[in-house]
Amino acid sequence: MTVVTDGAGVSLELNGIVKRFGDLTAVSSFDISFAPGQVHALLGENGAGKSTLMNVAAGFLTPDVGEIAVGGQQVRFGSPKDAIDAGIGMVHQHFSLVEQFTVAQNLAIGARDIGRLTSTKELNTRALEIGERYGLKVSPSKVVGSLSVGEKQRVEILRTLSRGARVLILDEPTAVLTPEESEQLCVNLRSMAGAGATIIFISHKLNEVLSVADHVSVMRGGALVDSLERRECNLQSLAKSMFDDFGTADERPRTQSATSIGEEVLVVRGIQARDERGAVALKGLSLSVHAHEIVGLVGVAGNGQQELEQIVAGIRKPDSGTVSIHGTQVGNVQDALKAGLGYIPEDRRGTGLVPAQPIWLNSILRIYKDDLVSKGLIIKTGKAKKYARDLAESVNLSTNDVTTLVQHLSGGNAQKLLAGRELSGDKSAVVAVNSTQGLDVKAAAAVRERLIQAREDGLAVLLISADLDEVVLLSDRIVVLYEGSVVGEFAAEDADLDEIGRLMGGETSNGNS
Amino acid sequence: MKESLIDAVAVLPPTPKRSFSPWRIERRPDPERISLYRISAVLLGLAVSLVVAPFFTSTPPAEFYGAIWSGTFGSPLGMSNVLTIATPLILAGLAASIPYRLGLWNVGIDGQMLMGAWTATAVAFAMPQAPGFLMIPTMMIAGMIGGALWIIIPTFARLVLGVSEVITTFLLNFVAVGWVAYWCTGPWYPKSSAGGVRAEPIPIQGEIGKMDIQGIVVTWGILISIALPFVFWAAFRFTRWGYEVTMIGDNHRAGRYGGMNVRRLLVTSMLMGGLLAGFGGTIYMMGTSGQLSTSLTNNTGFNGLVIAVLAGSNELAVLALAFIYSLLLAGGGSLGIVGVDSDLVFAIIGITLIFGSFGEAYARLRLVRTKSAGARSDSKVKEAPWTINSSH
Repeated sequence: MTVVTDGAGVSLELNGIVKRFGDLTAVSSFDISFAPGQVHALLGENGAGKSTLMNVAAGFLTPDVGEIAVGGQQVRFGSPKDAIDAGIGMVHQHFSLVEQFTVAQNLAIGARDIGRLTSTKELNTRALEIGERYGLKVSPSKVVGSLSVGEKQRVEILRTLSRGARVLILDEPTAVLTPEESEQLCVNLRSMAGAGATIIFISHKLNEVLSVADHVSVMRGGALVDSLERRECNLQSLAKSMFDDFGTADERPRTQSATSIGEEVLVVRGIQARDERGAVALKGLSLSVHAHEIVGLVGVAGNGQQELEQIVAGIRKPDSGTVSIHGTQVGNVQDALKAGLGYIPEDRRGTGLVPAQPIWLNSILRIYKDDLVSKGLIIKTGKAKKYARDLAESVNLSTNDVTTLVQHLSGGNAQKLLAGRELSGDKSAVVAVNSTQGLDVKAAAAVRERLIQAREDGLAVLLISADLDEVVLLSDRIVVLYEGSVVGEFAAEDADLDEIGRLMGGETSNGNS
Repeated sequence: MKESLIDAVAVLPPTPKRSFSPWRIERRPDPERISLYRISAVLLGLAVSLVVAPFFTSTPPAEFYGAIWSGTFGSPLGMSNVLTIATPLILAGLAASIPYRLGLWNVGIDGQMLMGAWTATAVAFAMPQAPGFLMIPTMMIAGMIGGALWIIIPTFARLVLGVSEVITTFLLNFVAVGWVAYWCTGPWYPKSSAGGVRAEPIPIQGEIGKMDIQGIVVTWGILISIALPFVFWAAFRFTRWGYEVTMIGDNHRAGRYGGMNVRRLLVTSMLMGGLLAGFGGTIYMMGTSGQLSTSLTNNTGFNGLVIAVLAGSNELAVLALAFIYSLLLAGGGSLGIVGVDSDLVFAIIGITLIFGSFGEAYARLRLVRTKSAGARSDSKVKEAPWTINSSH
């Protein structure tokens, strides 16, 4: 495979950038430069200021103070378009795709090489070409809204590249990708850098950074604390730079269950379902999760995970098949809630929480009909607020003022709130989807601890995750999903990552089932 | 390659845009007090347009302001007029505001008011001998039902077929006018016509009583109109229904995830809008006009829509803005007495409302002085109203 970059790379220098949001100084004056032909990783905890700095570089934010130079020339960006014109493109965690458009149409937005009247066929051909050129596979005629997060990200990266970015900024690009996809991406990034492009890779995953970067810069609390060549750094030293109070790198949550596995709790039988486009998404899938057990469901995004989690949670109706919890059939959300199902959806701000509303209203989202916080048609606001305060305290939320809007919480705190809400009360099972995605190491560890605690408490935990390491770390059993069917099942101790990876990619199992 | 030349040029630093300006627009970190900003802006707009207006008339300023003053706060008659206008206007504001919380536009309030009044009239004519204590509540309930029925078709068209309620509610206004015109000129043709398309007046015992507070004469319908915004304000804070509408209004996916019946809420909030509009039309007819007519609503519905949008999901702001709006209409009306063209009133209202919408922008954004110029606003319009089609 050959990777093409459009012309030579350019260097990017950010000098003395300061960016404040209200009282918060997100980035405080330092100089940093990014050389062409390198993958430069920007490492730091959530809230360290990495994304803010890069949003300034890509024209999404204007700095309060400071200068930007591209290829040695001073520039000012009034908009992301100015930045892309100067060859700087950024791929965000949250995508800027038009959901109603097809992949090909999205790739055509802002493109210079197409006329005003271009047929759908031409656009599709063009999209395929772009995909091939950069080594990322896409289906041009699919509507973006129906794609999985991983697929959307591919489109987003492609669009940025095809608009002529030579400085490519990626904000935690591997967070949603499967191991193979991540690896492929890393290979692509390396060859792009080899071709002279400037790659800036925002991440908080140490291993990933060490494997892909030529140069690593570490940010903490808005300041640059370290900037090293790859050969000068190791896991330990980078972790130390990232966190003041980091314990030992081996401090990981326990993986093995102390209690032996209990009875069957969550049982999925012969589920057939279609996706939004009417295509078959689940082909008679069966699965069971026992008390005191974590079952890790792995698979490339878009192989039926979304449909499965929504059916289990009662939000979506299957064409056939049943879901039951402790023998009680789940037909809708109320059934699932009554049966004691917690559900931590992937899209925490889009589904799990209502960001524009305060913590206390969000705390009762799944129990607002419960006698605990309501009486008849009336919500008992005093009780609800108290419930929210207790919840905030139990999950160590950064604030105990429950009237704070959820949109003002950091990603880690929002997820703590969501996970805490879904795991508190009288629960018998929980479905957790990519629950540590986008969280810093400490917040991710806290969420994992909660899941392990849930297992200790006797819950049946279904962990749907794109992070294979996490699945291996936490699960008692690993189930591989491919095109809507279970294609492999492993006990944790027998898990062979290569084998799992092959199954996820669609190779048939050799004997394991 | 075709792009290479363009790319080569693009490496040059782009010309900074709007770099002459040392100002920059920024999003406010806490845009929570939007309705406060809006109401302040409306008041400012009112003040500015009132100061400027006399320069565009030949009437001496003293007479100009005198007329406005006596047409509003300055006389019991003026105040009566203000409150009479406000009575249906507050209800119309609520009729738009409640569906608007879910991102739905009720553009058919005038039609729903007419149909409410029509249904109430029909009921009154069906029981002409009934005593007032029976007739009045029956008419009111009939009015609410009539208004709610008029919004059912748009609601289900939206729900089942995905037809925009903006179009259907709007067009049904004209159907309602036609329907009322038919009854006013046909079956209910008045025994003594006084001009206009009016129906026979409703039986006298069907009219709602008037209060006289130191010369300010107004029907006690105003009490209901003033109370309802508070009722809804409380409902949105303390009831399950209010909780559901609040959460779904901001994020319908989270609503479904929380086990809410999104479709049912959509229906109830639309019907609530129609019901309030129907009630508004009925109460105005029973207290003020005393008879059904095609010009009964006098654009109250559209004014209510404007109020609801400016008030932005805050029922108490609906009340405040409806009152200000009524002052304008009443004060403006009295300008005619001193020979000022009534069109000036619309100019004043227009300017005031433009200020109001600036107030909203100002509540979300702010100007910041900066050394590094290059203005850019990353403002975002309120997230597009959810569509039922996107659900699965």
